[in-house]
Amino acid sequence: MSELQTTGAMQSRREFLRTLLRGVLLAGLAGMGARALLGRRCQSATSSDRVKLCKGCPDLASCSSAVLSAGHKVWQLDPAKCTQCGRCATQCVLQASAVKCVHRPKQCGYCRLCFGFFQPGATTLTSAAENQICPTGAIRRKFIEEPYYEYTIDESLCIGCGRCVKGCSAFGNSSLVLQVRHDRCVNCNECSIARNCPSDAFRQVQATAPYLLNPRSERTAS
Amino acid sequence: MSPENTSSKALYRMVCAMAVVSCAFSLLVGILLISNTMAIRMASPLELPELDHLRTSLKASPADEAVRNKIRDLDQVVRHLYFTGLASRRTGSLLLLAGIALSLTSLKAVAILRRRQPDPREYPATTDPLQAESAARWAVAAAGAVIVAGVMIIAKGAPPVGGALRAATAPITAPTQSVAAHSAPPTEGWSSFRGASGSGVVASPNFPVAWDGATGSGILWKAEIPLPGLSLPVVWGNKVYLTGASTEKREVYCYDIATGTRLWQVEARESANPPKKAPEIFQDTGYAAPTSVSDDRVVCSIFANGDVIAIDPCAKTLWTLDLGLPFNRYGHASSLAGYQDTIMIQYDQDVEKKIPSRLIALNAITGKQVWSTPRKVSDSWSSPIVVKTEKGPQVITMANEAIIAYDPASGRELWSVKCSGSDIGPSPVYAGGLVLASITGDRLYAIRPDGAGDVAATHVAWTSEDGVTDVPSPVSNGELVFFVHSGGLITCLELKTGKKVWDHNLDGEFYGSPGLAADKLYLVARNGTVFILKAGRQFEEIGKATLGEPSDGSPVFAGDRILIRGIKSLYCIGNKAK
Amino acid sequence: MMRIAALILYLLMPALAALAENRFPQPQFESGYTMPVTTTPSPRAATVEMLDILILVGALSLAAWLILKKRSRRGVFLLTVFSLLYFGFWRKGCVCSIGSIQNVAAWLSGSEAILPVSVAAFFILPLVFALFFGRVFCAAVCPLGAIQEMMILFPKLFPRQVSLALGMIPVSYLGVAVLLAATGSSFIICRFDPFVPVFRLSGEPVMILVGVGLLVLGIFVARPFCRFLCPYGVLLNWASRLSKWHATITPTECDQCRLCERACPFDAIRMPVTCPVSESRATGVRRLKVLLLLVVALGSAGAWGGAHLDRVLAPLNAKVRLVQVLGSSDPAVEKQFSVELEAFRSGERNPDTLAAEAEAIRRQFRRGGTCLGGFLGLVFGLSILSVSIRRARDSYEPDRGECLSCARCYLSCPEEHKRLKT
Repeated sequence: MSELQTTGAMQSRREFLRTLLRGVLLAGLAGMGARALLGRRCQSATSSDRVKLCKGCPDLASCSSAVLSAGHKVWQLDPAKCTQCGRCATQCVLQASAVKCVHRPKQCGYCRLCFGFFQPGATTLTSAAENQICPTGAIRRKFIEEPYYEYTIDESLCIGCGRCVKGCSAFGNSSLVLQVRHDRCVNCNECSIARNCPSDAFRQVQATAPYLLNPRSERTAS
Repeated sequence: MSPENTSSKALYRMVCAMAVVSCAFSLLVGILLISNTMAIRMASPLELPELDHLRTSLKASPADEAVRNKIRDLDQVVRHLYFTGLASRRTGSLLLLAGIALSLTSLKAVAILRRRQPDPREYPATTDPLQAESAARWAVAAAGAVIVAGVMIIAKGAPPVGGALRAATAPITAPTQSVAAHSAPPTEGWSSFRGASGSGVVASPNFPVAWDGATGSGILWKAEIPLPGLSLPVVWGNKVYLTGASTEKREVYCYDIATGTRLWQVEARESANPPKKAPEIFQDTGYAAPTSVSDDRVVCSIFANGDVIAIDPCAKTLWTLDLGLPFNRYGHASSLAGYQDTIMIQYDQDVEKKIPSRLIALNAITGKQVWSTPRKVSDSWSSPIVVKTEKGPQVITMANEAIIAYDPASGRELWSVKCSGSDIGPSPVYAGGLVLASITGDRLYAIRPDGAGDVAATHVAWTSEDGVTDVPSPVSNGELVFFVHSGGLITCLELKTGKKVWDHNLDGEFYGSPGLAADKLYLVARNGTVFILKAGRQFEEIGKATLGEPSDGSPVFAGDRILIRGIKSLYCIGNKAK
Repeated sequence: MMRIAALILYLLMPALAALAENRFPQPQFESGYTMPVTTTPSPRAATVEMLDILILVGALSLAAWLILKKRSRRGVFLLTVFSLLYFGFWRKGCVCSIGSIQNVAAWLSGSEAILPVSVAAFFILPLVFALFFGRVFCAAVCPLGAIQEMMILFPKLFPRQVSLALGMIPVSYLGVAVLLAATGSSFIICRFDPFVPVFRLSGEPVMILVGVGLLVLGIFVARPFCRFLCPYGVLLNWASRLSKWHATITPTECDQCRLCERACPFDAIRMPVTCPVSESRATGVRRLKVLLLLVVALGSAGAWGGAHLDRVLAPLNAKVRLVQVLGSSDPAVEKQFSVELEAFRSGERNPDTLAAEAEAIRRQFRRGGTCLGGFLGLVFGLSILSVSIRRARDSYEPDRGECLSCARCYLSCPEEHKRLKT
């Protein structure tokens, strides 16, 4: 081969090999694409949270669009596993983080002494800076009627540190949870917080049901 | 280099100036951005020790207005810095992008203006291909060598992975090994209701007779149980299994017997769709009354709604089964029994509901039904036991209407004795060749288990109306048998004859069954007092201990430890390691 | 009896048990207060992802047409700007083809990872196009390439050996990235992506600095990331070698004027091989035999060495690392991983199961490391072999593997100017 080979036979042989290899690779890629497309549908039929979507139709063409989009996944935090380590505030590629505290009024006790709002051992129950647990003052406290107070989160101020969540889940009803807010999340291929989460609380969920706010679904999450 | 004519020279100069200006601008914005990022970092409301210090000092002196105001001021400054910082960073980034775009355009213009026609005459002559090839080979080889060297340097610093893994598991298993060394949790068969034999009896005498749950003296550990339940702990090796349930949640817990650490908990998820409603039950029974069974492979548990779950020791759910809502007026309380590869469920139903009672045997590993035998009896609290008689293994069950023994391999009925009890709470025990059944509302039966068919006339050794119990099961040391009534009356009978030896009224209410360790009888009263009596021909109290919380549990002996389930916590009592 | 009393009590208070879960009961409001509803802003619709695929196909087709048919550098440049703006700054550079390698690897490894269609398309389509038209994706569609393309101002050429040696980095990176993705450990390509933080104007400060550094370097070294780091470029390189059609410098016949010789900032133009060989055929054949043996030797040595890579790579997996940390008695380690340790202690993970899982992952790394080492050994061997094989070339041609099809060289060819005039 160290001689210069320029014969036509050599050229055409090389050309043939190239065509052959190209064909093999194309077939492989096509197979992979088909498997990705079909495998996703099978999964939508087996996985329990998608059973309702899949109508068990025989072919992909007649599969409803809901099932088709079922392969689309987004990151979410499972409150049942979260240990409120505070990394959501610091590890997100966005600043401020796409993880915010979310309030579930249906769980809330509307307590006068809210462990998600007040510093432990707060002497007076006012919203003065020295009493608040939230470092950015993102929780609003409003009197409703004796003895109930309403709490709301200002997401533009919330940095997702989870201090309030820790207080509420340790002593309260767990009405405050951390959640990835999808109007902010850029849905990285590998979520930077998920990689650094010490509790393995992040996972990819169906984009059609992108929040884990239902207390029941939390419990069945593990 | 520079263009020749004056107009293009002027253009060139202008473009150069623009490039310099825009680059300087971008650089400036870039530096500002970096300093801004640092500032946000410094002013991060999350990392401000001063605020924490101030808060601590405020707690020490709540009236100090100066500290209070300091906190307020600092808090405001920090938040202002942080949020204005974030906003200005956004603007800064956009400005920087614009600056860079401008610099790039002007620099590109400079590059274009400086571009010359290529002149191949200046290019060096082509090199010798052989030389070039050789250089190329060495280049690739050098790259490979650098990569290999780099990996080796990193590998040298890295700890060996396998060794680290072993080391990591060591502290977890080490204490349990020391427990295993001087104890004998079961190593074969099944661990179930009231310990390995189902009789609440162990031979080991080395159990403490005094402890105090309130002060913690004598308590090796105490572990919180998340959900309530009456089920007893079952022990296999270093693991203690326990169940707990509420109306909507059913869980199995696994604790480390050495430390009381909860190793895992698994929720028995409802498989029925739509979900079953919680059964209507007697409140004292609760939703997790039946005790689980376990061996080295699996722990099987059943809950009041008829859900059965099998979990392996590593928390993996092997199978779940829905037996359907039971029609049990008291709430299903019958514990599981294990025999070889099967577990047995006494699934008795209220006769008025026209659903037959059954004794069901399931394969413990697969959950497949092995056999199921219908029973013409009604619901109770009673649990089946598996005993080894001289004529082979038998499953012995009790109900209001009959005491029935079955063949655990096939489910065939072996013998039965009719009775007429009501609201049966106790379970049978087997001691000294006799099956003892305390039929609430009827009397005590002592039956020889070697008969066939209806053995009421032929194999009942004795009956007694003394000592009939309502909730706790009896316990026997082979010579004497002890019965405890929930009201506190304890009766001792002679096992062979059924003659009363003594009785005594204890100051307490009892739901849990007594446990017998060598010659010591442990009785857990509902208020948490544990009476320790001598299992002899005379009443003798040798100790009294307190759990510190109410309990409906029975003592479970494991090695040299006693496990007692309180209302909220699991207590492990034992002599502190020497 | 007491039991009956308890039963009645129980029947009277059925609600108590149901509420046992909540520490504080739900208030009964009397002032007509209505409870707010928790908002749940939805993520990007799946249909928008489908739009991305369409735009990708469109951009790839347009690039192929502009490069091969229209031969328009200007068109390619404009398309590059569009890609930079759309895939880069608008779509924030995620998901990109480069990162999709890891999704595919994780998916093929048989774990639970699923492959979304858009990710599969981003992985497959550029390769398919490369099999037909060369690296048109690199030329004008890839946002990471596009941002570097903008920076090529004063490109310097350096000896071929240097770029050959540096060119071995991407394939090693690819191998490690695939192994880490297949073991479910980490997506290092995404983690160390230098330009996505620039597109987002937000990210880890270190990565932003690396990105900016690479861009500044790109003023003098054309597309440093594409040539010396990009793992997807490796796959495209191989596919492009098999391409059915490929960009040519001259539209007609090469008259060897040498004007294009330095037109390529990426050093992808190969000169005609005409100079007579000064060694005998026998020497050449002998060397070839030695090199073939070397390929086999390097492959097996790599496989053997790779089996020991778990030591370096396995701790990159969070589970393995956690087990290591749990087993460590070093207070410095405990301090460094205090958050992980605290989370582990407050969580409900079983240490036995965790250790078993970590051990399984380590075994995966051992197996995967063997494959990785063998693969890299083979690639290095084959690279040495391929630089030793001379092929007849009577004109200036782009190297099919390395050429990014940017169409810069077209205008350096006098034949092209002739074509444009007519």
